[in-house]
Formats: sequence, structure tokens, C-alpha cells
Amino acid sequence: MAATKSIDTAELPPGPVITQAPMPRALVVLTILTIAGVILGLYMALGYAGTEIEQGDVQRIFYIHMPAFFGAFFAFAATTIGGLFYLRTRNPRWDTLALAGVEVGLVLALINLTTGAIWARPIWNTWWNWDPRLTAEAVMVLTYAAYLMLRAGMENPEQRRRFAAVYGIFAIATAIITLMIPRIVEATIHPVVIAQAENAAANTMAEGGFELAATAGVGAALGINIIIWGMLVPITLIWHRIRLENHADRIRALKMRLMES
Amino acid sequence: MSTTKRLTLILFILLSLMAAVGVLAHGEEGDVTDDANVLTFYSHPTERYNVLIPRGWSNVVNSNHALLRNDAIGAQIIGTRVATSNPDEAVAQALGLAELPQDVPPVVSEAQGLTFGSWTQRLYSFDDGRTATAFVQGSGEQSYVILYVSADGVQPLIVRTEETVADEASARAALETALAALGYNDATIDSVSADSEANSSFNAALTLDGEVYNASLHRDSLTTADVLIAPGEAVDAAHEAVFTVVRDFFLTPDNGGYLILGLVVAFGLMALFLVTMVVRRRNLERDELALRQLEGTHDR
Repeated sequence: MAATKSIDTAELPPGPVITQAPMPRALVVLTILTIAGVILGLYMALGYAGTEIEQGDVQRIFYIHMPAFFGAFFAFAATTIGGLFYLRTRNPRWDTLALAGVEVGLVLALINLTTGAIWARPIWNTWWNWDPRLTAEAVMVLTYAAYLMLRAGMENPEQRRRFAAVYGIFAIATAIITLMIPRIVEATIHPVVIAQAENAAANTMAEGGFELAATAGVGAALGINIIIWGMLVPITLIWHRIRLENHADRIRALKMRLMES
Repeated sequence: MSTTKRLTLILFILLSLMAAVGVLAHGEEGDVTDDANVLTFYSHPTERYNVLIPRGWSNVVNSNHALLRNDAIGAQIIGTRVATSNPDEAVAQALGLAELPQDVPPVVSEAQGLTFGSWTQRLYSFDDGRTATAFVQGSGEQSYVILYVSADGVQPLIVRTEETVADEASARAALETALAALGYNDATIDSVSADSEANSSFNAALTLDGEVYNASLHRDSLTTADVLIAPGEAVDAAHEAVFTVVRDFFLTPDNGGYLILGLVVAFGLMALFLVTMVVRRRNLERDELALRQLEGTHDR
């Protein structure tokens, strides 16, 4: 029978304090703002914006679906910036930013992907199809998931950081392609909501688009949710994730010190 | 410049870019409002049905039912939902909304079963010269009625044809079917001419009881044609708005379940990520306790 041994902290010897430092006031404020923002965004999506008459209530998923992509793009851009600065300065802080960007971006990209599939079921009558936009998004998600797996498989920290930096810089291409593809490929069923007027003539296959002005409050709800999910949420999560990684780094350093002594 | 300051600057630049996207979303709102091609609908606040407002028609704001008017031709269109599967009751209620007598029998009554419900059209003629056409779409225990009331005797009819209305001969055949349905068995079709053959649109001149009538035909689908018959030299194009309204009448789908599923999945994924962060932090704290204990033992 397995026995667990409890550790009595009162008996712990005095040692260097490595426990996570208290949360900075700015992060506390940012976290509160983000939570309030998400609640406000939900109200804008569910209570303020009118019902889209052709699509029904399911169109409200767009208020999270599209901003979540912007949030993912933001986070992946942070990864690219982290990679570039790491290669230039070799400061591990930039690698931590890159890692945090991938994790947060991946969560937001998965939210974008799954909510899109749920919206597509009643609108396109299918959960998924191999449309250029959807395929590009799937490739983007797999690319960043591979980043985490490959990174975890490398033992040498310096080599891992260098590899991750280069990978992160090139991986942003998948996010840019995903963003741009409905604007450059005419044969796509995926609608373009922002800058729709210019694309309407070129893309005749798009299904499920909606006019920003046709229903009251759509533009405002979308704009506010883009700011919340596209900026506040990723910044807050990346910051928290960086603090967690810094904490892990300190624990790893302590472990190394113990192993060496 | 320190790393923190650089990071803050980069985040600020990215924030500004994202804010610009938000502003762009607002900007689009204003731009699209000016677009003359945007269709306007009457949407019932609670009952999910939508009626297209044709150009040149005014929407008389009404929270109970759609009421569209075209004073130039003295016509009105009423769109309403009636909680009944009986088209008689549905039409009677619509006639009541138009302040027309409800005890007048229809001149024409046609019914058809569709995969999603039933379709009925009825034509009425009143003593004061007005005519009314009711299009009823049944869906379960609900009936949706579009009632067209004309002051000058125009009678719109949707005719089911066996063949496509694509040339003058098929247009003539469709018109003969429509006249028979309307009970004008002694009508004479004087001429049929293509208005726009590419769009399968035709005009016809008729003689009914010695009076000059005109008809306008449009192909709607492979098996239907829209026919308008009116006294006088020509059918006023504004009357054809009724077909636009009937074709574009639609219900907002009830798919709130997918919305709930989407929200549950979105917030579920986010919650899962936050839980992993909490679990990882707790594991690190445990590791720290264990390491500090080991460190103490080692020092002793």
C-alpha cells in the first residue's frame, strides 16, 4: 500500500525564499479589469447586441469566436517578438515570453476553432469542412502544439531556447496566412466580417456573413470584445504564465544547486 | 533601454494595433449604413418572423404585426403570425387586422403540402372594388400570413406550372392556368410579349368581360410562376413588391442551444487552462517544500 509522507512546514529549516513573489499591483488591477471586461463583453454579446435575423442567436458566438482569434494572433506575435529578442540578447526572459505566448495563443486558437465549428453546424450544416481558412487554422494550431512537444523533448536549455526562438519566428507565418486567406483566396466559404464590403464582390462563396450595421449593437459588441479578448485576456494570461515560469525556473535552479552540492 | 521597458513598449504598440482593429469595426458600422443595397426588414420583436420592406413602401411601426403601405398605389401588406394550424382562422385574423370583412368567401383557394408544412393562397374580392390575396405558410401549430390588399383590383397569384416559364408559349400557358384559377374562363389573351426574356419576365394584354386588363409574369422557380393581373393598360411595378415580400419572408432560426454549447466550450477551455496553471503552481510549491526540506537535511 502506498504511503504518503506529509511535510510539516514548521520543521523546515530556514533557506532562501523562492516562493512566488506577491502579485504586482499592476497585475492585480489588470486581472480585475480583464474579469470585468469579460463580463462586460458577455453582456454586450448576449444582452446589448440585437439578434441577427437570418442566423439567429448562434451568431452571437462571433463575439467570442473572432476576438479569440485576434487574442491568439496577439499571443503568437508575442512569441515571435520573444524569439527575435532572445536570439539577439540571449536573455532567457525573452524565451519565457515566447513560451507563455504559445500556451496562451493555443488556448485562444482552440476557443476560436471549436466555437467556429459549433457556429458552422446550424449555419453551414456541418461541423467542419476543408475550406482554405479552416485548414489554415488547423495547420496553425498543430504548428504551435508541435512547438510545445518539440520544446519538451529537448534537454539542453540553451539549445531548446534557440530552437524555440527560431521555430516561433517562422510559426507566425501560419497565423498570418490564417488571417489573410479569406482576403486573398476567393473560393472560401468563410465570411469576412471586417472589411466585408471590399470582399463581398470578390468572394461569392462566403456563407454566414452579417452586416455590422444591419443589427443594432453588432459593431459595438464586436469592437469591445475584440479589445477584451484580443488584448486584455492575452496580456493578463501571458503575464500570469510568465510568473509561473519564473517560479518554475527558480525551483529548477534550487534543484540544480542541491544536485551539485 | 531595460528589458522591462522594451517589453512594455512592444506591448503598447501591439495594444495600439489591436485598438485600431476595434475602431475599424466601429467604422464599418457607419460605412455600411450608407450602402443603398442594404435590405431593410420588419422583424417581430418576439415571434422571430421577418418581412422584407420593398423599396418605395413605408413600414408603419407596429409591435404586433408587420404593416407596410404604398400610398401611391393604395396598397398595403400585412404580415402576421397566428397561433393556429387552420388557414381559415389565420386568414380571418389577417383580414381583421386590415379591417376587411371576414365572412366573404374566397374567389380562389389553393392549398399545397410542403416538406416543412403547408402552403395556402386565397384571393378575395370585396364590394368596394378592393381585392386581397392571402399567402399562408403553416408550420406545426403556427400559421404565418402575408396579406396583400389592393385598392385597384390587382390580384397577385403564384401559379404552379409543370414546365419552366422560359418563352412566350410557356408564359401563355402559365397565364391560362392563372386565369382559370381566378375563374376568368371567358378571358381572351390578346398578346404575350417578353419584357426581359433573360430573366423570364413577360407582359400580357387581356380582355375580361369587355374590359382591358394586363398581366405581368415572372418565373420564380422551375415549378412556379408569379402572375399579377390588373385592370388597365399596364401593371404598376410597385404591385410586384408583394412577390418580393412573399419570397423573402423568413423566420429567424431558433438555435440558442448552439450558442449555449459554444459558450460552455469557450469558457470550459479557458477554465481548463486556468486550472492547469493553478495545479502547476501548487506542484511547484510542493516541490519547493520538498527541496527546502532536502536542503535542510543536507546542510545538517
